[in-house]
Amino acid sequence: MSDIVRFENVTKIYERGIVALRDASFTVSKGEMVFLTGPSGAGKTTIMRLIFAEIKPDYGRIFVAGEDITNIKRHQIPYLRRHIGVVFQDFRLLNDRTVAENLDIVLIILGFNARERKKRLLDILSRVGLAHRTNSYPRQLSGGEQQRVAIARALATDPMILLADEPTGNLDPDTSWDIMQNLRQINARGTTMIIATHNYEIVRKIEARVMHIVDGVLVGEKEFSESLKSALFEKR
Amino acid sequence: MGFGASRGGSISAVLISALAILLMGIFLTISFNIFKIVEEAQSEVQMEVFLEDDADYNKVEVSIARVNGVMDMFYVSKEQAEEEFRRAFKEDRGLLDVLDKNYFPASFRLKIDYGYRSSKGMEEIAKSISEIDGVEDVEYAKVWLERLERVAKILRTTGIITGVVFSIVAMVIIAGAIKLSIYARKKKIAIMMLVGASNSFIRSPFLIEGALIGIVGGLFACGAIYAIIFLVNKYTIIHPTSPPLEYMLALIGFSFLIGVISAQISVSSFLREDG
Repeated sequence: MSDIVRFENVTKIYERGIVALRDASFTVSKGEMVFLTGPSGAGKTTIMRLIFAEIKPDYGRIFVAGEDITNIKRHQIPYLRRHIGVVFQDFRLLNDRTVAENLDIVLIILGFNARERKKRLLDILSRVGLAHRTNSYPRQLSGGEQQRVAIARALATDPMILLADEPTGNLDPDTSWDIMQNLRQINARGTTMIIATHNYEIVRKIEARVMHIVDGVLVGEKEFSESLKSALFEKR
Repeated sequence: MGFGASRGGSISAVLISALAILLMGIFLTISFNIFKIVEEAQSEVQMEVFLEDDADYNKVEVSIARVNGVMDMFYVSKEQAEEEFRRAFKEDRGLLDVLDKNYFPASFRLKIDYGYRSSKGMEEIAKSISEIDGVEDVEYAKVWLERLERVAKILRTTGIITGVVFSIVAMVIIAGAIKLSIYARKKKIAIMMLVGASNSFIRSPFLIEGALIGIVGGLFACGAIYAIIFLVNKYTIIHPTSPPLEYMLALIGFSFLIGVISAQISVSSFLREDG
């Protein structure tokens, strides 16, 4: 099975009857890079949350790495999440901890001993180009650097899938581009990547599949097409 | 984690739970002392079986010995009974002069088995014995015994109620402190859950915090109890004994349990909301 994520007719209804996702079916293959585009509130984040089992679907079925996670048991969720890295727009770092400590928490959870943690820490930080900032605090870093720490943290579990929810939403264009290059490198090493964004500039420049979602409905699951992307870009 | 970000909450939880445990401990001490008095009184409980003047005391003795609950007995003859009376009332010359003959019946004084030293047990024995041929009357401190038992029962009930009430107070306070502690680390917990920390991994530091609050509170309380007993002995006319060490250790253990349970409640409700 080369599908790493598969949604089968998934519908998610929030409280007060808001339909966040309507009858969505799609697959993401192993090693693929997918952009999830669409206006704010369209359902991009809902798809992400469904994948890492923060919420459960009301209808349909969801498979991650061949496992049916539709009705995943609470105690199994941690093990699912160790295969999924998540990066957010607002970084979500612990500001009273150094870069190294922010990553160390993950490695402790995974049960590595002190020596292995040190080795892994340097390895991961160098993958995002931050090996020289291990002892800095998040507030001493630029936005781009903070997002790299967040990416490093997501990579610490050595995940099969990396979910990035508006990873460049708080960054200037140059920094955004750097972060995207970084994510692309990580994808090139085999990590499947799903990136939610409404930065169409980036979507146009990077060759990847685009899934477009409007009001909870997937409208454009097509291979990369310059024309579609430009159309989307002009619409904004 | 432990006592980090919300030290104030933890310290006040320690103090308040210490206070709750202290009140429980004081009650335990009082009950312990009263129970000791009750027990001593019960150990002196005895029964006297008066014989008819023409009774064959050997036969009666054999029959009494068959009754369940009789541990030991000794015979008091008419002469000994009179002698005892005369000794007890030797000041009252007038009263003694009136005695023209020996009115005192012979009797058996019985020692009662431990298990029968209740008003119910005594009544059973008395009933069996009074049916024996040659027995005139059976006497024991019936009213006194019943009163003792009533006191013991009230103490036990009050003790249980006090224990439950103060346990709940301590639990509410500790659970609140742990909740503060959890909320202070909400972001960290969310991140840990995101990267796949198991619930027990998230839970354990808070359980340890709850356990510490409980143990430290319990230790404070026990220290205070010993201090109070010491002061009461020194400055008042009552002389309570401190409950044995096992009681105190049990109290600390109980306090520890309360701490862990309260923390467990707090963390579980948090994980349910945010899981």
